[in-house]
Amino acid sequence: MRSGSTRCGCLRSTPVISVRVATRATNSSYAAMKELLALREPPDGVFCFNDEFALNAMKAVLDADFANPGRRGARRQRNIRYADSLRVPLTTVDQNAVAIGESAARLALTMIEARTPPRAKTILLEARLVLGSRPFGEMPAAQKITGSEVR
Amino acid sequence: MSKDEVALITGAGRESGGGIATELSRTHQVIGTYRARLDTAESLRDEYGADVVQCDIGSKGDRAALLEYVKSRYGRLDLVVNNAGMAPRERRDILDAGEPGFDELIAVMLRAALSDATSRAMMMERGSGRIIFYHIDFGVHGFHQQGRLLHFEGRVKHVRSALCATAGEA
Repeated sequence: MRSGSTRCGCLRSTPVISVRVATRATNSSYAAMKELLALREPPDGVFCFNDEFALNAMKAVLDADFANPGRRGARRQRNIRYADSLRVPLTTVDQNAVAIGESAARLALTMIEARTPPRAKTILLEARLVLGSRPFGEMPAAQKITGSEVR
Repeated sequence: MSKDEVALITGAGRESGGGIATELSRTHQVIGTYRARLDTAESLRDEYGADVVQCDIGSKGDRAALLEYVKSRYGRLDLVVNNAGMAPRERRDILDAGEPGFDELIAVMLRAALSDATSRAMMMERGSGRIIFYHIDFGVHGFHQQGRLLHFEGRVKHVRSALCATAGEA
């Protein structure tokens, strides 16, 4: 993703997003990252589908021998187990799948015990943004990805 | 419901399956299956008292052994949460996926429903029981290159849902 700044540091009015499709083959996401790095204006950040893609993307960044690879980061959708061991900061979106399962189980038990079919309802569960592999303990509400709300 | 009641949760070794098992362990004796994640399965066993069993739900032999284990050890089955599932290992056009990947997907997503029929038979011996089909549907989002794959995944989920509903009918 080409976000809000250019090489000279000026802010862009419209972010530029580049998309690459990769498969789970190791060299696929690696090659996709190489393509992004070869763009005339390489990306400021990369949003990856999962752990494997993020790791391969980071490997491509490191292999490209950037002067300061620590300035770059990858972002992925879940929460990697070995994030603390990574040489490039990895920001993750933890979708809290365990809480989704717990909530689904409670809902299922309620439906089983109900004499009449319960009304449909929406349950919003909070996701967490984990910056640089460290949980955002007391993240201000404004930075939360979703509010926790049950209707 | 009481802790005497036995719940079987497939794919309990990780993510939402782990959450389902955790929650149900408050009210049931939980048997959770896992395929590869022994560490999280052990956590489920040690922290919540669940019985964890390694089982590839796509394998006919594993499914049969699992249900035989449940029958011999517990003698009853009150709740099944059919949670185990998978996405294609390679997110490429379904026509390029190759037969091994295609077969694995069908085995885990569809053939596993055959164990629901066996579970149902066990439940009918006692006269009660529930089978829950669970999957997360993120909706059809993706790139146009993946159109056929997404369409295929959607169809597989519909068929799976129909199989589970049929297996669960009284």
